[in-house]
Amino acid sequence: MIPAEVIVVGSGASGVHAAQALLEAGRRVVLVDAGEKDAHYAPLIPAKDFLTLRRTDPGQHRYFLGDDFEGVPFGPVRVGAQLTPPRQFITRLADRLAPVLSGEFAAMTSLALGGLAAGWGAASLPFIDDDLQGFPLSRADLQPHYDRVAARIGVCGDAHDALAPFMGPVNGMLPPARLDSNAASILKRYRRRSEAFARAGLHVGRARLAFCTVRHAGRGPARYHDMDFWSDHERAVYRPRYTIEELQRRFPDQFVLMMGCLAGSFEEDERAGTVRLHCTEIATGERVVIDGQRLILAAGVFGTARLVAASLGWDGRRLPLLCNPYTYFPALNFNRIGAPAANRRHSLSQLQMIHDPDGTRRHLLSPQLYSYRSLLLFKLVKEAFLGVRDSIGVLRELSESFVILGVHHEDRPHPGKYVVARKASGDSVALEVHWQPTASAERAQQRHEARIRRFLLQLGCLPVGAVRPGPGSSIHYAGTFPMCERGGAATCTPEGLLRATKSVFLADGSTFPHLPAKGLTFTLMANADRVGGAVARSLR
Amino acid sequence: MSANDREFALLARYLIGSVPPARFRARYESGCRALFGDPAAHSAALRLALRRPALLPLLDAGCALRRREDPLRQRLLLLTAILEASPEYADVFLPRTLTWPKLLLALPLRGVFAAAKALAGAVLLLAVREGAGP
Repeated sequence: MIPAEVIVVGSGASGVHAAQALLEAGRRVVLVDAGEKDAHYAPLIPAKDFLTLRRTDPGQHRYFLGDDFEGVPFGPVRVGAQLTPPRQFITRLADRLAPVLSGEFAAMTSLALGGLAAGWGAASLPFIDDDLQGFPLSRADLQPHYDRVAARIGVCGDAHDALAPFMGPVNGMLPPARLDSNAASILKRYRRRSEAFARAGLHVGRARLAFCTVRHAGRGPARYHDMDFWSDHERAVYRPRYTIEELQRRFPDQFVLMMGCLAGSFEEDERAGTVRLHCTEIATGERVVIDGQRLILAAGVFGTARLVAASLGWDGRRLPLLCNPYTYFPALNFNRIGAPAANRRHSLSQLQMIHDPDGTRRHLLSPQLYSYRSLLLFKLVKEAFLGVRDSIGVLRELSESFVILGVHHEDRPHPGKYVVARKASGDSVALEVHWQPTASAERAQQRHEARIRRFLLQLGCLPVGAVRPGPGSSIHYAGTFPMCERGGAATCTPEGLLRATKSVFLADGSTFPHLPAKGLTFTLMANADRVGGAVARSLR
Repeated sequence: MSANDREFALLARYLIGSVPPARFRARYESGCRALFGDPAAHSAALRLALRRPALLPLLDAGCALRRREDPLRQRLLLLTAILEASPEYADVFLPRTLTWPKLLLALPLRGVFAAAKALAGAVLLLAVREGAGP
């Protein structure tokens, strides 16, 4: 039996920042995680730029295609297609040990060190008050936590560009990332007519990324190797494991990291004011018990729902589920056709757009623009409606001017969208997702997407299709135990306390009552830092 | 030359104009095994291409329109991926920049040829039914 003041379940974006807040407040923390890592592909990838690797590394097929050719997908574009072979460890163990029955809804879960954020695209977009409708929080409540998290992870961007009114200030922003040729030409075109675009509700600026453009917190500066989807050699893109490494270094006497453990359930002793977490050591199957005064669940929306349902016997109970609908538009940037492009670049989003369709800031869309190169040509060839050889010829000539605009839509709770826990064998619980969005929400998305397509054309880009990978494809899950001022057993207090319990707090997306279109990861971290601080104070 | 050797050589010559060294063939075979199970499981279109290599461009274009999951197309894509992920052939797949005038001439011509091939290939595929035998 291992004693702790606070037990944190999950090493992802939320778990590590909740743990850091607790440790900095002087608390003793045990962090439990399955902790799956990639020991196979990472050592194979030399620390060189994409073009050099392509032209010189005879072993590149192993990490670009995968030893089992898992990087050569067939069939329609599916959720998770963005996971390259060196990133597929993120979901591998969860697929085996914690699957979610989800029909058409793609429920991607992770038992990896760093969780889903081990493959995060690094977009760091703070929520403003208009985004926080339905939250029992304001931007002012979150501001110190955004600032603290930004100082830890390093957020780059332009604090004074057209996006500023939709982002609010964040202290200590790093200089913006270098733009690639495609993005620079589109931004230039936008700036020439920025007032007209603003009147139409479109605002474009430099991407805000957890990306160290200069040396920061022992990481970076970015070397622009364009290998961000394949490896973390540069350590420029933030990953939660960097925080874990830091916590182990800074708090050797307060911090215990238990990797290789799968949390199964918890039980409270209300009289003693303690909570006990039951885990299984994955390698041996041995049971492990951890006692603490508080438990913070940050196992991801599905992981946390599974733990709560298994612990409280919530067999058959429906929990609301949110997920940003996602569409992307491949497009040709006419400004760049026939022009050479710079080799040194990053693979993350280049430009951030905000579309405010009705001028109220209440239903924002948040498109992100990427250039296509480091995912290799054959994936584009597969989607083309020309023969393979013809496609190679045409796409080689156009690929440097090829951009992808990913568009997230907001999501709100609806009775047709929920996850339900079912008792499975032994103590285990199986999750089923039911996903039936309303026709009116889908119509609104189509309307907004039509406007986005028109904006693309006005920016000199010809959309060549619209790809909807399907429900769940944004991998932005939330809403199962929403935080609110007053609510039932399956809700949380604004501090993250699960109302069905006395000592169990939730620090991941489970508590978000609404999902604005902005990616939620930066806010997950800020909120986890806030919850960690609240838990530390509750122990005084 | 075995049937697998013939298939590999035919597809490689079609894609890049030459037959790559033996290690690429081994990689292609293990890819077929990993992704498609039986490396010898062919479609009618692939069998026809093996018998009449001159029809391969039409069959490739036709499959892109009408039979996107056909083993012929899937094998071409697999071999494309294998060749692309190698230093020897990387340059065949890396971006090439053309000037606007060249693009304006080359792209429409290429488009017209590709469309004609796709139409002819689609008609050809109508005649090549699955199970019709080699």
